[in-house]
Amino acid sequence: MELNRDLIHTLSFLMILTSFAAVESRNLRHATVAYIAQALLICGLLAAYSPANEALLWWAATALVTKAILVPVLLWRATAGAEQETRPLIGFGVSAIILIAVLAAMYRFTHTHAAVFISAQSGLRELAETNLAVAFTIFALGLYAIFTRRDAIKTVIGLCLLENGVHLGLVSLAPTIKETALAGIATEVVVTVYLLLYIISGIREKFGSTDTSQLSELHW
Amino acid sequence: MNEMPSLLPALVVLIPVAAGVLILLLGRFTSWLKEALALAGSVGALVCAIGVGKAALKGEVLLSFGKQFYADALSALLVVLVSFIGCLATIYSLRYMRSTVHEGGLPHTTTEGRLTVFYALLMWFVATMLWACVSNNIIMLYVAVEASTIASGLLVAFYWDKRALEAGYKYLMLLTVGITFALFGCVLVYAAGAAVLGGSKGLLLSELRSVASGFPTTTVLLASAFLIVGFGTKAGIAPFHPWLPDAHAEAPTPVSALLSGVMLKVAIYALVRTVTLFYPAFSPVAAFLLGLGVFTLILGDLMALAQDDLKRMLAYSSVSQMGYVLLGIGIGTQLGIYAGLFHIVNHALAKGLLFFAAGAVIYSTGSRRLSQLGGLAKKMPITSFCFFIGALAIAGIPPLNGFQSKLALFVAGADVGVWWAVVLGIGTSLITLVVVVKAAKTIFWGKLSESASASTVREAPATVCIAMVILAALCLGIGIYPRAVYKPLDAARRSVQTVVKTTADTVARR
Amino acid sequence: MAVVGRAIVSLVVVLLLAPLFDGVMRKLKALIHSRQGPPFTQPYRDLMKLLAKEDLQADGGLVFRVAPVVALGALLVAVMLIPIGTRPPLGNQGDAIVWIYVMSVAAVAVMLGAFASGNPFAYAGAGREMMMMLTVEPIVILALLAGMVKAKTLLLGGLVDWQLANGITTSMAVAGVAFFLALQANVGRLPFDIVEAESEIVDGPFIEYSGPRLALCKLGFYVRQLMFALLFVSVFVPWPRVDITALAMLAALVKALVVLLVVGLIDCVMPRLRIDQSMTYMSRVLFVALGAVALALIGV
Repeated sequence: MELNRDLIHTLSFLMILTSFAAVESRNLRHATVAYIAQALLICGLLAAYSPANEALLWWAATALVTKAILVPVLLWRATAGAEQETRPLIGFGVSAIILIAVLAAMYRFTHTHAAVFISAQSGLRELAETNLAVAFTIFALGLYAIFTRRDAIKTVIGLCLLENGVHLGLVSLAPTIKETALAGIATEVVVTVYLLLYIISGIREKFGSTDTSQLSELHW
Repeated sequence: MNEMPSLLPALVVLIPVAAGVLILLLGRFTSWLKEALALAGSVGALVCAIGVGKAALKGEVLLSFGKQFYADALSALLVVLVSFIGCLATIYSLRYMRSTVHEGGLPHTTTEGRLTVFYALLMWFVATMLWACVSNNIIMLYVAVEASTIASGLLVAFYWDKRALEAGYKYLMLLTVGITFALFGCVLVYAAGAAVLGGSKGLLLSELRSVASGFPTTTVLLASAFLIVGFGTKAGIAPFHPWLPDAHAEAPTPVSALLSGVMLKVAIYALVRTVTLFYPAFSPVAAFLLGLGVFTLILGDLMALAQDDLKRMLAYSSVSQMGYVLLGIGIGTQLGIYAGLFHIVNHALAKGLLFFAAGAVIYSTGSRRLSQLGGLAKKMPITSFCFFIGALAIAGIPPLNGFQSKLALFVAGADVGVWWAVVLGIGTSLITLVVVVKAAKTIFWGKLSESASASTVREAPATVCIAMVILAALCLGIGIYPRAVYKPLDAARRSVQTVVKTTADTVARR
Repeated sequence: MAVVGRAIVSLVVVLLLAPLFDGVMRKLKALIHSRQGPPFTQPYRDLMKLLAKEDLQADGGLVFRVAPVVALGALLVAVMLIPIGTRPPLGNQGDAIVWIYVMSVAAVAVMLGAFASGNPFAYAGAGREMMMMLTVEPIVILALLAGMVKAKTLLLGGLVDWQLANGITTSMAVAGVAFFLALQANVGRLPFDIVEAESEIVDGPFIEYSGPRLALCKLGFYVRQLMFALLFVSVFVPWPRVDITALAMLAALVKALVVLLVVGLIDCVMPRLRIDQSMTYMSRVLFVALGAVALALIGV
């Protein structure tokens, strides 16, 4: 059970930076690159946990294919020719402040309440607390992206972030159990992303842009 | 309860999947092959579902793939319901889709191409819903529900015009976000369960039931909150319902009937399966469901009152009726859960009927706006009659089935003492009554509108009428003789844990 | 067997006596107007005459023809559900709610018949009926609810028993007041005969009916009147307790007569309210009913 704790901590915190970059980049292709970086970080994290649970290596491999290769390819093709994002509702400065506030709140939450719902062994407990805080933060960032970004493709990136947050949470809550890997592999969002991008291409064709504030044909 | 391994639960899911695959591969070649395959797929699923149902009535639980598929009475009830309405929707689509697809749709070049995709997706949609009903694995339950969203996503956007695309985007986006919340909830339950039971058993709902009362309170509260938000979004519970009116209105009618009629029920089933794990020990969850149910039923009805578009009105009414179901589950006593399940069955039948009739009206007149319809009773007698039966059933008028389940709900509420919920429920019924009478009056009486299609208005084609009449007969039959469905509903009710009586009194005293 | 017998007795009593009570009210109206007025049995003669007349039908199809029958049928089922001095013949679990729904069937049947007739006066009348139903039914529901909360039962018969056992309580008195204030609207008499407003919309929803169908409509009107009066006296003023069934029924009928005379008196001296004025009035009565429920919940 030799886990490199420093490595895992570093990877987790880097994930927050990449998530923020993915949300905030105005250029959609740069956001995709940030997302690729985050996907690689997750695979690295899973691999770092693997001395405790070999099945996680399988998950790391599939995650590499789906998160780091398939989804970015789909995003790249969808942003062909339309790289700049339409202006979002909330700008960079406010986003940064919100991010720090959420991260701090989540950190506090998991470290004070952790005992009640993280039943990992004591050795992994502290890792789990940090990772859960990061997981919740990425989840919140994903939600934030979906609800405040006006560009439809940026919302899809937000959805992928949401998924990453849940996967991180999954691995930190039950790292030593084989079925965790199964659960992780089964819950990839790649098909949803493909379908969403297909519909968005239709939207671009009919509406002329991927600006969601123009989608107002249907009222309450 | 004896558990036996059997092929039936697996077949129920695999037959429509196979049908879908075959349709995609072979459908382009002849014009009738895809419809035939679709019919075969849905009828095959129905036959297997009835087999599962029969076993459940005998008290057996059927297992497939080890314990991954677990078909007890509650699953059996939903599987029969889903496959039955799926079968009727397929019959309905036969003529209906062929004529509407001429006017446009998915970016395929040919009508045949579009129809192939439609039928394949329809089969997969039904298959994923059936999968969700028999899945015993909590993570696979999430996967099945997500798969049904994916399968129906393209179906919602099928007509590929501005409105349908917007509806499809919102549908996929909002539902996937919601479902991800449910995933987090499932992950929390799995983690807590696996710590006690070990990995392979920690995933299985049937095993989790026995240990869930020992979970720490924070886990339970957090997991329930996530699960209710997640599966509640898919079930159309307020305030997570905004995707519903758009999707149900813009989808092709047989898809709307499936969405409103069964998909919402499958989502509520997922909610019931996961949240009632905590029932005997943690009754605040039930109280929360009760409050949420009442909020939903009032909101849905008030919004339905204000709609001009016929299908949107029906969609909001679905929101309201799901609130009633949640009310029954939230009451949590034996009668409450029985009433909730009864209402699931009744609403599936009645709402399916209403959407079918609405589709027939749209098919014949080309218009969906209530303000543009009128005077159709003479020209479309069968459709009018069926719409009537459906509308009266939704409003809860005796002697139709809606009345029986609503009565059971109110009696259950009175037993527990939540009088405020009973009164609000009855009051909202009055509003529903006004909504449906207004709709019926606008569509079927008054002057025939001067729009160009007035001269071409005829009764709907035979396949459409057959589907409607079968549902109308069932609504009437169950309404007059509710005892007929007592056995399956009671068996299903016993699969769900109830809130302990003493804690139910606490709900009342608040 | 006994159930069927008592149901038939209830039905027959109400069916036969409803026109008589209306005749008494007409006589009262005449006396107040300082004229002789028709004999008490006049409504019977009117109904007989109508039954013999030709049935001119509007082009409304099946719904138009069937609506009065359904409405009367629903009202008669409702009659079998209410206590007339003693236990209701058809009482079983949850029958207060069944009664509310059956009454709404009657209202819906009237509305649908009106819509099917195609006459604009009928449309106006049906629209007003919808408004009235939405504003008055909640008061009835809440008044009954106050009783249900106190007696902890959904059975109307159980309510009566509880009342007899416990005497006058504040919440039930307030609920009774609310019910009485709404009674005028429920029976469709001035100042609330908005639905049928003779001088404004001819006969409202019933305008196109003639002959036997009109007889059914009128009979429905009389039965509804008597039923609400009987419900009021049996549930809210059940004292004194009489143990012999026949005498209890008789006592209830006498009390109902008194109530209807008061209703008739108000009918003679009041002008008609507009629909918006009526809705304002009803919302005030709603507060009274809510107050009754609140008092019942406190336990007063």
